[in-house]
Amino acid sequence: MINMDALYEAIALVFTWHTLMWIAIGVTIGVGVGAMPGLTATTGIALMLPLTFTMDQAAALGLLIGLYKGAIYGGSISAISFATPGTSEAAATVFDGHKLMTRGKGKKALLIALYASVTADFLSDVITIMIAPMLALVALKFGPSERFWLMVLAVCLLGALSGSHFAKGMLSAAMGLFIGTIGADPVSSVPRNTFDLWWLGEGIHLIPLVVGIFAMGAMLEKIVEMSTVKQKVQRLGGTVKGLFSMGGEGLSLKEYLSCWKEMSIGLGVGTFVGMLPGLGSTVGAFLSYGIAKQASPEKKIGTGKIEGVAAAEAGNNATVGPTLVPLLAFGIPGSAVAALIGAALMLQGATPGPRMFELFPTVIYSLFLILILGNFFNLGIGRVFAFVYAKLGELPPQVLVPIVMGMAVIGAYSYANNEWDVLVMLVFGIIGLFMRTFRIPEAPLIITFLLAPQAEENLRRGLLINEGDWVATLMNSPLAIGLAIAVVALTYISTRMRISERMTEIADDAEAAEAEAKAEKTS
Amino acid sequence: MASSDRSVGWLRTNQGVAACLVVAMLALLGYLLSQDWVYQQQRDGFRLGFFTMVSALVMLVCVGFTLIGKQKDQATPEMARMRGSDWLRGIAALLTMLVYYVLAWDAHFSQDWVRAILDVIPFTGDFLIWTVVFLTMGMAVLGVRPITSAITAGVIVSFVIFGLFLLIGIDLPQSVIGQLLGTSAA
Repeated sequence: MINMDALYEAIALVFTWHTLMWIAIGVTIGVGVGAMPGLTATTGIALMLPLTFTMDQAAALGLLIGLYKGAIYGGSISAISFATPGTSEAAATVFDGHKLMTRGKGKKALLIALYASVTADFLSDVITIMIAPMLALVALKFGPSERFWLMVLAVCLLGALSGSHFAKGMLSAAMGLFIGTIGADPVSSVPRNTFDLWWLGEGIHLIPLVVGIFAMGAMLEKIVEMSTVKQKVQRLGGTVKGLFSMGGEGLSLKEYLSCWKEMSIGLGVGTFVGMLPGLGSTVGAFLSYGIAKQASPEKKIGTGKIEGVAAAEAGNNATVGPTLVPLLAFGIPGSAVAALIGAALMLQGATPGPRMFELFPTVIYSLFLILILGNFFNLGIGRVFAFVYAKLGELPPQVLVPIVMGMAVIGAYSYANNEWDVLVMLVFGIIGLFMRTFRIPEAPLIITFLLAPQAEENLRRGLLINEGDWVATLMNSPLAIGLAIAVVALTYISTRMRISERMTEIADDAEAAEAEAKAEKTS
Repeated sequence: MASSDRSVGWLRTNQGVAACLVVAMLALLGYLLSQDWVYQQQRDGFRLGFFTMVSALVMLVCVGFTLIGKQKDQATPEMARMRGSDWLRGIAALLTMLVYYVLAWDAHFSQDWVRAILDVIPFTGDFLIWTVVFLTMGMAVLGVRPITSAITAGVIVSFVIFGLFLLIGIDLPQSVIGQLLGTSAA
């Protein structure tokens, strides 16, 4: 049932110049982040997260969700312009987008990318708004043991679906659990696992962890790349040239409508993939593109068709809203970005989960309104500035890397004015570099880190209720038993059928596409 | 995609890296088992080290699977092309950032020797000056040429960052230039 008072309050909070300005800033930064190869939505949100603790809830959500939406779309700009996807989500866009660009139809490709992104994003947000409250009602009926098993199941799903190696996914999750146990335990506040370092007594703060793993890890990888790939002195000034003018063939309404089938496929696939923990928008884009190609062979998708761009872009942007469904309904983030948005909510004092709908209805309604509004900002900013953003793709990493590193130091320190946080961030930077090099997915680490205290609280609450009886605690209902069986079955299936490898093959097409396009470009 | 190129040294394959990790995990487990808090029972009957031990054991099992799994002979492309000097380069970058932080924030980590060194360095705790130095040097070292471009970009970006954080309301260390402009936060 809709809480009208909370809805009015949310409208009053969101429709202020202050909040609208932060949504606009978020989208503006996001499209730029997406357009710049080397920066992803996750890196951008990790860097912006420390800023949100000084903001009110609506402004913080506006900045982060705007950035997320903008970044997912922004990746397509450099994918189309230079055959270098700004983010892996946009790699499927390269197939048709860059071919259109080389035929002088870059403007058409950029416009269908924008319209397909916004259309699918908007519709998937509507689905999210309808589904999340219903699932939350179901989740409210769960007891501590069901919640505990649900978290274990989510972690196993993340391990199974993130990355090419089930063991590496689970290793990442176990690392998150280990880091989550550093500091005081969540029930009796007794310090543990501090390695006898007094400054670890409070535990590892989320901000230095995410900034280190995502932003610093990515930048260190860039530094290594710059040294291993043939060094080229970067001359500023001469690099940013007008690649294409504002002129060129635009997109007619008829052409946009002719892509309805591909956008529908993208919407369906993206929404489903977005709701599953661990898959993410890259898989959404490639699955959607692949299905659209098979569904309409007569359209010859892959040879430079707007339908191909529409399918890929609808597929990745349709994951944006649904990725928040597990977070809002069960309190379990399904992706790294959802975990960071969940962290922002926690920084604002609203713990994500099914009770959020009862305890913080204004925050929920604000979030829903921002999800919808963000699309209009994305449309406006993307439409007007896409051609300017295309030039950002040429920003040399030699300039970008020191700036992001400086921002990382400021972000890590500013969150709690704690000098040790900077040290922690730097240590996690090198761990992040190792994880990237050894292809250990980062998302399970962050998500398990966030879930660790909740899982421990639920397990210990269950043990208290059942007077220390572990069997009664863990298997106290048919649902709990069913979830436990699902965990075992999923682990078995993942190791036997190598699901993660198959899913990664889809994502690896991204690299192949990029390499193919680059080879084509150089020839 | 992972490569199984035989020219890649064993240490860089999944098995090689996993072998190193197994040693690290065993050391971690040994350390944990020697700690009293791991066995400490709480009022609700829960042992304090339960989740820590579970996570350490799961980590050990996972690296064990990587050690003997089907992809054991493969190496990730990133691992295959990483050299020891690349790791050193990464660590050097982190140390540079640490030095930047210590100088720009006048951070001494409660260490007297750090405080003594900082006392003799001018402009410690001046965010703008050290950010300009850090960014300019970073860009120049990474290959931005001509140097004047690196200096110009470093100065502009430092002022933009300082202004943005000031607008958002996040305190940054005081600055001589900031005081001159009347905008210093601290």
